[in-house]
Amino acid sequence: MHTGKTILIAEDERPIAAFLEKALNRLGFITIAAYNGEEALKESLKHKPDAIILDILMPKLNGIEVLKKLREENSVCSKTPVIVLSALDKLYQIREAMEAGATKYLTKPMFTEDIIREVLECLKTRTL
Amino acid sequence: MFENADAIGTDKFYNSRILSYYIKLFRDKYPHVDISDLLSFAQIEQTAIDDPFEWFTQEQIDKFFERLFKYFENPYDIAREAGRYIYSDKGLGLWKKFTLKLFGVGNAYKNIGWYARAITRSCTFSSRELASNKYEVKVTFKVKESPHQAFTRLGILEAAPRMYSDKMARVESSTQGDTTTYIIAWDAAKSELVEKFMLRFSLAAPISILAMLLAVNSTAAIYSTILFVFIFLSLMAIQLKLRCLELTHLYENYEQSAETIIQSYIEDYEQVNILNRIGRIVLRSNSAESFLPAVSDTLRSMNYTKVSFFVSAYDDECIVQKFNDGYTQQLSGFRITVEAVAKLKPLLAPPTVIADFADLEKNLPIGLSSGFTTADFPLVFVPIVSDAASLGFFFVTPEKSLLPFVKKKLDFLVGVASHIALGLHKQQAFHDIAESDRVKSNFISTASHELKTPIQVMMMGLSEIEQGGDIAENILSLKAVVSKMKEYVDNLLSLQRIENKAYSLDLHPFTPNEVFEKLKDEMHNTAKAFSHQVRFVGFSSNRPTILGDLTRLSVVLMNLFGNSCKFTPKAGMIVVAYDHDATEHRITVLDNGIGISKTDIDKVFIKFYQAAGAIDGFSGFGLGLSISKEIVALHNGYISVISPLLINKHGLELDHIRIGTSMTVHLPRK
Repeated sequence: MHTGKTILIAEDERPIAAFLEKALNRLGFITIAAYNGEEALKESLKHKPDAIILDILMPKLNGIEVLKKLREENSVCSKTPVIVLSALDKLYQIREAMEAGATKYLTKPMFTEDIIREVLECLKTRTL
Repeated sequence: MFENADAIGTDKFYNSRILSYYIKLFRDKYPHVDISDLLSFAQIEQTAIDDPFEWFTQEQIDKFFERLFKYFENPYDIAREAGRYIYSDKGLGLWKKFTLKLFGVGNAYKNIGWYARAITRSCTFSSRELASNKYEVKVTFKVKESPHQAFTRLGILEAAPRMYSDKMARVESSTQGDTTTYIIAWDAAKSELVEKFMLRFSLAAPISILAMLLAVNSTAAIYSTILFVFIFLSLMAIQLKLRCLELTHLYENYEQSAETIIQSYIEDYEQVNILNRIGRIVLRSNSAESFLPAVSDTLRSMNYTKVSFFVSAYDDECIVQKFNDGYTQQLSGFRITVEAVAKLKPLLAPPTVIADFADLEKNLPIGLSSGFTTADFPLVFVPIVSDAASLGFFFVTPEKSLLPFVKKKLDFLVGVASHIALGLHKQQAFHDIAESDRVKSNFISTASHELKTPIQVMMMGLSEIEQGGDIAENILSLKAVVSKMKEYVDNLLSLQRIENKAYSLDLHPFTPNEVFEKLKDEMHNTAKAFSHQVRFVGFSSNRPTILGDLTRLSVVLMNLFGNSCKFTPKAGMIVVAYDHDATEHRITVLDNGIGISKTDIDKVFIKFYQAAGAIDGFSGFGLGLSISKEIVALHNGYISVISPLLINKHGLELDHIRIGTSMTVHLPRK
């Protein structure tokens, strides 16, 4: 049903990335995992995914920086939905991410199905 | 030694006149004293006081005196004043004053025994002339008197010259057995001699006039009368003039001493005022940067020309110069280490005045001389001390008007130094509070983040099982996450126990070989996950025993080993080595990883600090090294770090292996 759509998962905790991949693959998505910020940025620009799930606290480049780079004017991902999934839950941290251009902000911990529902929601809004 | 009352024939030793002087004094000067209360307390009738034939017992006058504590702070002063009152104009009365004046001050002392008999039976007086204005008076006691009586007697003895002048006699006393000897000396006023002569002349003149009238004739008598009147008036004029001069002189003296006193009060007041102002400045501010310039300005307003502070900086173990008023540039940024300060005794001593360069070198051999010019001397060196520890010092150069630099001014500067010490303490306290706040909030956010991640994994694992994922596989990863969480919680609790000093060691002797046996499997397993090689060196069986807590030290070594694994790229090499010398055991964990940068080296032992560059997916909690440091410190040891990055960016090579980081646990041999 979602065959062919690509989702990039930027998450330094490998088990979390792996669980997300499994769940998304089951729904027919193609997934790409990136384990640090630099990799996440590079892979996003290369593969132009349909959506990005982005952690904030990552080695090498922090998620907010990645987001800012993705949202730069001539970036191929300037319109790609970005779902931030982070343990940071302070209001200013959420605001910072939203101002940087996040489509949605989810705070850890969450069950996989809830995360997936939010991702699908974002994709639906985009296709409309 | 003393006769008893029966031997004297009565127990009433003291004439009412003694107490009547007290009463007169109170009525005259101290109306707050309730005289009837006083007398009734001493069980003395009001009328008895006015009756010169009444005598009182020791008990009565002691009671009388005891009651004075109700009205005066120091009744002994009042006893002395009552004694002096006897020779005042009001105390003497006109007739007695005339007769006493007629014979002069010396006579008053000469006949003191005769006067004394009229007021006391408790002792006898004898006197001897030592010089025209110096007498010796001996008092022999028949019964033991109370201390207040000695004060009254002292007042009487010193007050006799008051008949003529405003100066009192100087009295020295010594007691031997039941006799007290007083040596009394006074400065005879010139007017006294003239007045004495005039009084005698005024008595002699009518007699000689009468004699002349009878023996010669009335004309002679009239002429001599005129002559006598002329002489008398002249004497009177001379006496008045002398008295006037004496009084003027006295007044001038008073005026001068009053001025001195007022001046010194003004100075004291100003100093207190300035100290208050400095106190307020320090109170209002939380940092030396803001209050020291204000203190410096305030001191300069008091004619201290140059002010320079050297205070301890809380962030560095050193004393730094904070402000540099007028000194040469070389001295700015001047630093003195805390060790240097500890060696200098003057830094804990009271302030000293430093006269010149030689004096400075002698008193403060810390190479400060380059900062001063000859014009800066004399300067005052003031240590800032708190709880017998030096917080720094300051220099001031007082203007010439402030010299000589007396103790009072030094005391003032001590006061300034105390305020500065308080200010520095306050600054330190604010800094500590801010720091501990920062650490605490850092802790909470780090801890919550670190706990949320494993919970996230657990929740996803459960979701996965629900979605039909492989149960056995998911449970395996859930177990791994739970173990990691347990490790984290254990670390947090250990750290808290160490910080609360509730962490005790279980000390046993063990050999380095036991360490190897205990850790080799765990280390090999850990290394396998990273494809690292592990080499053990020096853990042979003939090594000296170590006294320590093997379990805790294993935690330390596993922490060091784990860090080496995490900060070494895959398929690296980790060496664990033991060696020792006469004083210590050393266990080193060495790797060929990425090393520790200069910025990280100072921070790796700080709680929650995580160095960048860990192998992806293996970042830690930032607690391992701080716990390790504490555990080794509990063994009286320490951890040393060598990273070639500190020496050059290419690193060092040892047996063709590039060294990344080498951490060594040093444990003392006891």
